[in-house]
Amino acid sequence: MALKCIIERDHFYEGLNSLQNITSKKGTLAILLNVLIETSNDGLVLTGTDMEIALRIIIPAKILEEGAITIPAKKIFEIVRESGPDSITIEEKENSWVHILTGQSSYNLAGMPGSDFPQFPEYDEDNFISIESYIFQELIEKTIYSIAGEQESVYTLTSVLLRKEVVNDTTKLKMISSDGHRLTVMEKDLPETLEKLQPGETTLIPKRGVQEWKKFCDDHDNFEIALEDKRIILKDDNATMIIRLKDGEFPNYKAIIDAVNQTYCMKIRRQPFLESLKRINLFTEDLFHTISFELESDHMVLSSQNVELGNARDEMSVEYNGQPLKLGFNCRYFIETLQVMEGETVNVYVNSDASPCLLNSDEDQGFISIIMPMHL
Amino acid sequence: MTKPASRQRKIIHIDMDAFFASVEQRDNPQYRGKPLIVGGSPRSRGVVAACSYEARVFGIHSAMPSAHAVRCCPQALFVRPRIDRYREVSQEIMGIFHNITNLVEPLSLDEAFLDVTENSWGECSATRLAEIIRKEIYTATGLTASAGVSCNKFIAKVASDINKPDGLTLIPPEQAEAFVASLPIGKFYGVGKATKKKMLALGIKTGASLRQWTLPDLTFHFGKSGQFFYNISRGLDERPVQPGQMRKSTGRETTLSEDIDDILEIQTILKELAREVGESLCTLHERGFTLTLKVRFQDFTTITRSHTSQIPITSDFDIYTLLPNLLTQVEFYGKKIRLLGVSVGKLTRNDEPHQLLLPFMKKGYLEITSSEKKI
Repeated sequence: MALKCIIERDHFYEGLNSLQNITSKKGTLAILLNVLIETSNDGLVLTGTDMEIALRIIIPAKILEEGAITIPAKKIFEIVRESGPDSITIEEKENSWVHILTGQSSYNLAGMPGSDFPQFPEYDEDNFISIESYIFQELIEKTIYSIAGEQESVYTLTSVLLRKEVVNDTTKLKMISSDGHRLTVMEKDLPETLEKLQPGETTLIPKRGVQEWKKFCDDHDNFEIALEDKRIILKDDNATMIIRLKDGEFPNYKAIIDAVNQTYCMKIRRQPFLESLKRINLFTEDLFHTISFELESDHMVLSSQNVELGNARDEMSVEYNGQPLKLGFNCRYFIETLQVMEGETVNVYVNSDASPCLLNSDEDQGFISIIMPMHL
Repeated sequence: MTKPASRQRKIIHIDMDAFFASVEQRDNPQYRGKPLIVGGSPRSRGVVAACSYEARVFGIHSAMPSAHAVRCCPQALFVRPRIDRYREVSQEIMGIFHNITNLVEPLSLDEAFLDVTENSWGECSATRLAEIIRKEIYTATGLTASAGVSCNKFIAKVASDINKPDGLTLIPPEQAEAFVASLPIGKFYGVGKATKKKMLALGIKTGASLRQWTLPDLTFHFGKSGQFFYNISRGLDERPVQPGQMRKSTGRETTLSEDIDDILEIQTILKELAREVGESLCTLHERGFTLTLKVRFQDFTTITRSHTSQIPITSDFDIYTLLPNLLTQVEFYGKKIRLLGVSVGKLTRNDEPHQLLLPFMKKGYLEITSSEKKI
């Protein structure tokens, strides 16, 4: 049987758009750059996978003939994006050619047989828990920025760690990320509905998976989640996403937090601090974005220097109870942390120019960021 | 102006005298005339980046641990390096060089080769030019420099060291051979601790004894460097002055005396290469972030495998612990190896600002012990 169907342009556009990141991985098998299009009783099923993340979306369509075919995900997305509001007809021809017709335009696109596409992983329907998206949305937004890049040699750092822990009789859900220079922890009270969720000692979600999870949260107000041994499954009525988990030992982040002495603290207003950092960052060197903080009891001098440009200096009033101290930092690390933080005032705990610096805020419950200084 | 067919080159090597320390002494009059050490605090594990001549009297030298230096000279003053400041002064000095010729090859902030065979002053005497440069540097910065003048880079560099500080040494081409013959082997370019040991074991103590060796013998023992040693023992060094950036990587490679496929032999050679590269990092006061392994097979196909890390590579130990991982990425297809090479890239100076790592990133620190909590 050869697939033939008619799809509303906007439905098709949204479905293909959600799949673009997953189907554009470089250096992968040719078939994985394609999207699988197959007919079902509920409509048209679009599937993309990079073997780490798989996403299946059902969109409404008028099925004229049943079938399954794969076509290049990027090209069909571009065709739909450039099309007018008319509905789009897709028809499978001989040798996996696909004829696409929309308004007065028509295209013949070379596809590959649907049978060549990897099977969508099977999963147990019974283990799902319903959840509101904002819970994970906040955990992810506040930790995603400090996940290490894919080149990182300590490979567990290329993932975020998901933990469930009991702190002072309250069960907390936590996400932890680190790139070796900084470490971020975000925790929230575990809603009762999530009691059944049981992350393991090392439930590691790879960075790309976290990115797609965040998009899934953005697109859905509620969804269902199931956590299996080696994967996380997210779904709602129309979409199912399966993210393969990584395995390995994540560094002992608690020991690092515990090791920071929280006696000496600089209290500073978050927004003006952030603005000042952005100004000083105009004069940092490209590679390390080095800035220096000179701390006194009532003020702090921020400065940077660029061999070609010159230098910049700014002064801010702070409350600080320690000895005068000069510290070097990568300016971008502070900017990124302060951008995700909430609250009027932040606490910056410092001990020496070579020990970890801890940031939190009384108005941002559950968030902790640790940043290592730079040696000047 | 007509040029002779085979032209003698005129090369100047300029080396600033105790550069970092001199800049500090110039900027801060209270440091003048005193043993001054620029580098890490004596209470830290830091090292001496530079020291004034007053400090050298006590046997202090660069790369010495600061804690050791303070024992040699308890009254020594320690100051933290201000690399940005040194870079500023360095740019001023490089500017003076560029007024004379475009063929300037900076080796570091305080050292450069100049090819003045042709120069914008139209001056024939390289010695006079070297004097002009030294005077210009002093007028502009108040700092002294030493110069070596000769017909190639190798001899010019050795020469600049002879009348240090504030001196000039000319080795005319006709004296080059005799000059090289008298040099102890450790002074030769490309002879680090390892090669020196090897040469001494072979009975090569000076340029004169190196001169006795035939090219095939030297190539047998030192691979590609054999040709270089053969030439410089005769006062010949064809390496051009290469204008542009400072070095970005340092490495060693060796062509094996016979093709091998024995893993133990490979490991032994890699260990030796790691040692030499580690030594070179140490002398350069630099650290790298990329390690590259190069393998040439008997059929001359050559492959490289690299590893980039945010943990700096600072020693032979670091190199050797990373090498096995690279070696497993090499496909042998039953071929034997003809050449092995190891290099460290993305170099930055040890004293440049660098990002510190969270404790678990350091080797052997995957778990922080509770004792650290008390700090």
